[in-house]
Amino acid sequence: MELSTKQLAHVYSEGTPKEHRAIHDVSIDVPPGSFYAIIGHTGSGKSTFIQHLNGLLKPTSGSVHIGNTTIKADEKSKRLKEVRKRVGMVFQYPEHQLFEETIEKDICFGPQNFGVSEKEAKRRAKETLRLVGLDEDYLERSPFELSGGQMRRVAIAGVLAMNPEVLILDEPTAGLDPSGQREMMDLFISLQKEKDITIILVTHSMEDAARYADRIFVMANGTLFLEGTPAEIFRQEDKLSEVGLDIPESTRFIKAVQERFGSTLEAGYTMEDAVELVDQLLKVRSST
Amino acid sequence: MKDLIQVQGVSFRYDADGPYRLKDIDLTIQKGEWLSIVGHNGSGKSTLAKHLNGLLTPVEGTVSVNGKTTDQEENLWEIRSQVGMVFQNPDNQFVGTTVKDDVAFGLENNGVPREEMVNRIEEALSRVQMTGYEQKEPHQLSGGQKQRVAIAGVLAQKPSVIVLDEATSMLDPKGRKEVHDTIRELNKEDGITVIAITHDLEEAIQSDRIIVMKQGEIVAEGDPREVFQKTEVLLDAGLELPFSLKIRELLAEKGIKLPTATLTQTELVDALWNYRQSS
Repeated sequence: MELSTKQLAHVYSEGTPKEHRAIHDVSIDVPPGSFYAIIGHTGSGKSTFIQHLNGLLKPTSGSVHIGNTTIKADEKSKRLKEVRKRVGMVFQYPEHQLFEETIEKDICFGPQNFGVSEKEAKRRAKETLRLVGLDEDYLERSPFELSGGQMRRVAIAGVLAMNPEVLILDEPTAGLDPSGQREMMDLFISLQKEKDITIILVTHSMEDAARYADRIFVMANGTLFLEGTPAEIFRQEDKLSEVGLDIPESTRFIKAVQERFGSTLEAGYTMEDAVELVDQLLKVRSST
Repeated sequence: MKDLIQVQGVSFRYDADGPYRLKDIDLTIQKGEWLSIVGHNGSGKSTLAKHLNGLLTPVEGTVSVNGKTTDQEENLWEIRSQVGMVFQNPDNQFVGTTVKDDVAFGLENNGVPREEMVNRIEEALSRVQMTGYEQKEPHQLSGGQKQRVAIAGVLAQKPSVIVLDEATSMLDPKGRKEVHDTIRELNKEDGITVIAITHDLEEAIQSDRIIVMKQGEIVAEGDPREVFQKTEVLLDAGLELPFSLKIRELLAEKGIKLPTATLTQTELVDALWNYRQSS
């Protein structure tokens, strides 16, 4: 399912003294099955923006296109429920939103709300729990007995149980320990690859954006500041630092190595690229 | 330097028949030291931190601060005024309605006279670069600012030790840096002993000493340079290697073996340069 926005703007409390223009002129286009990352400083408008992508917020002007549904200002959208089913949203610290007595009930809550039968919801609970790496024994347990990382998996299973075609993830790995972070990112990659789900990842981690994203949107001061492939984005260190963002450590390392070795070899921006570059530089020398 | 906190033979479990979360821990922390306690979730690092000011008391062994043990109720008041804690979630530890009230909270509890209180609040906020924010409400602050207010609240009590339990893990990179810079300054300039609990080895690089925990035990200890040589132990403890160590590992797979572990990127680039000169 294709997802796009056209000149999207949102003004909070319009016409009051507290009026605040959170985002303006944001136009994006996300093809089905792709992995996009949104990076930007706290306060850059990322959260406001993504809340438009499943109709939680309506644009003040401009439009959002989700499949063949359009959401516009001053226009009643009949199919918001449909949109929310197709675009799953995982907020920051989703585990804070768990509330049911058992994990099974918690996961079933979403799909049943969208009219899925109890039997089908339970089947999906079992399946999605397995997807997030927890076995069936957990179904009858209370979500509140789990560790933080497990609770987050359950919360994500609840979103997946609605069979979304697009998954929007707002800092899904924040506060997890390193192995938890890696497992979580592996899960999203496998969802994208195996179930062809479109992923939009909001992150502070330049490393994750570099490693996983097909394209990156950089937001600053409420608008789309840069857009491109990771290679294109991370080539623009000066522009990024203008808006308080860093290039990934691996990219900085590549630059430092090239300077020190006086090298003009083409190199990428990830850790693998860095190792490749060093390998080439050292081999060139030993073969001459 | 003088011994400030002594942890001797400490074991701990929550229930009499539950698993041990700490197993026979021995640790001495010196005055003015910056110690990092690193480990995976469930390694016991936070449980250990909570022993340092008597929030938890050992099932076996003793913890003493300035010679006073935490298992004596009458020592706790003094120990807690010596050992301040800052926790992970900036929103859960903001108790005042304004920045000023929040910093005042602990002082009021301790019956500090008003005039003295005003001075201490002013001083503490200036130490964390939050002067001018006195009347701000928590929702007007960023995560990093809230954590700095939490640190000011602790500082106002004039502690000799600050324990930071994952205090930066919920912050964005900018907030993390702000808090980190604040901690470094307090340690280097004011001589406050800092104990930082973290799973981030990058963050531990600047400290004087690191202890690595796994399943309730200390599995490695030393200054960062020593500890970072033990790549296997770090990986085994479920930690993510710092950037320069990761690169070193990946290069080793390609047959490029750097003799020593480097802590920073600059060191790593130098090491590669030297490697080329010598090969």
